[in-house]
Amino acid sequence: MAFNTKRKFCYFKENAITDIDYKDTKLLRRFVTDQGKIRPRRVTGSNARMHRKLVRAIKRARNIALMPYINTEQEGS
Amino acid sequence: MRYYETLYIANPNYEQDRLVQLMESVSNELKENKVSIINHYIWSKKRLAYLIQKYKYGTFIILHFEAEKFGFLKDFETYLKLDKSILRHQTILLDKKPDKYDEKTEEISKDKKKEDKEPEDTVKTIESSEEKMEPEVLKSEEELKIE
Repeated sequence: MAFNTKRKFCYFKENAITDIDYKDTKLLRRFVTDQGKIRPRRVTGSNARMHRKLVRAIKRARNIALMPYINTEQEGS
Repeated sequence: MRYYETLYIANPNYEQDRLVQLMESVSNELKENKVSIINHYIWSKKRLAYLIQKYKYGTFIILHFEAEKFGFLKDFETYLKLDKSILRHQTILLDKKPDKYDEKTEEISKDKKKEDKEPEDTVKTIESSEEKMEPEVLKSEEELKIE
């Protein structure tokens, strides 16, 4: 049996990011699925404090139409 | 002292003059409540992630201000809501004092990004070498015809 040995790490800790700006959609897209759902912490590996900040930033970006609530535009169609 | 950031989306069909008018009216509304404005500028015209009032695009305007009391915020929010040229607005509380916005520094940073993205020197050299090659080939053809 081959196990996935890819190490999980907190993106924010690695890059020394302490504050997340909701206007920085390029960063936020990294933590969202193609559908537009927020990726869980167990998948992204980010620590609890930063995940809370991340969720708040994504929700703010959604409210002001910088990010979609649901992405209906499917790729390839 | 508390610092706030308001981001509001203006009608995309508005031109520069009308946007300036709108921004003035918003800042006047704040000045009545003795609030000092730090930044007030047009961020950019962007495509919206979903339709708002059937508009696909919107002009995003950023407003930073500081205030001691926050009782006026409710009135300010209703003012933004009632203004028909504003599609949507959002006010958040900031932890730190925001930096002053300079158009010049922003432009310089944008130019730098563009320069990083366009390493066209290699392409140009290839093109130029091709151009040099063409006339020589033509000459040889002419020589052949003469012969």
